[in-house]
Amino acid sequence: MREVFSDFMRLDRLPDGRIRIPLGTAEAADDLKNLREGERVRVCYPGNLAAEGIVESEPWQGTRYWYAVLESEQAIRDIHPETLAQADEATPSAKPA
Amino acid sequence: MQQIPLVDLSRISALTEIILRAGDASDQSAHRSMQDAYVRPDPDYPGLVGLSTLFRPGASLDQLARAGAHVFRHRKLSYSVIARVQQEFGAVGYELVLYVTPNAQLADHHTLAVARAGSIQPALPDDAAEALIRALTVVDNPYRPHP
Repeated sequence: MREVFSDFMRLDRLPDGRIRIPLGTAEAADDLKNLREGERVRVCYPGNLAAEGIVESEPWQGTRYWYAVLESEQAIRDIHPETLAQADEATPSAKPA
Repeated sequence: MQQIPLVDLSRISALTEIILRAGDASDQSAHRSMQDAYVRPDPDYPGLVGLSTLFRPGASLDQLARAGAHVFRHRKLSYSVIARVQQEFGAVGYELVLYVTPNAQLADHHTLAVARAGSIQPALPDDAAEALIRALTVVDNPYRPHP
């Protein structure tokens, strides 16, 4: 699955509860080159947040502006190192005693 | 490009006014993330480059964090007073520019850009990214929804 960048500083709430995140244009960002409508992507702010969604685009300023659409806000996962470390501590070890 | 208003930084109290950005500026990937974010146009403001920030004259850090609470799911927030950002940028030859760019969710949304000799930089230079990282202090986001 392709990974695209967002800093998650903007979450547009759609009437059906889905979330739309602006990604940018392929001219400005290499990770958006050759995207296909409806492609499933992992939106990632490294060290902070991540979510899976579907991309869609709209005509914009002579090009296309890409958005990621998430099923809901619950699709956004905290991937901060402190959060991941806490999750590891909370997971019982699979190793035999 | 449409005419986007600027914050007149000469008319504010640079030692007290704060900018806030969601996310952890101390993360090892912060430099690259800032550069990635800087070049992506805001769909509401064609032609503009820069980093999303919150700023409101007179607002405390807590007030800015609350203003972003309905959007920011980030565990950490990064902030600085304007004077510190100007100092760090100035040390490497850049100037701070703040565009007033409110959106439907964030009335206090601004776009932080970097200029050199009065010319807005189309991409965030490495030394400017490092300067901004040095200026920012990272705190827990007390208002994010609990998972």
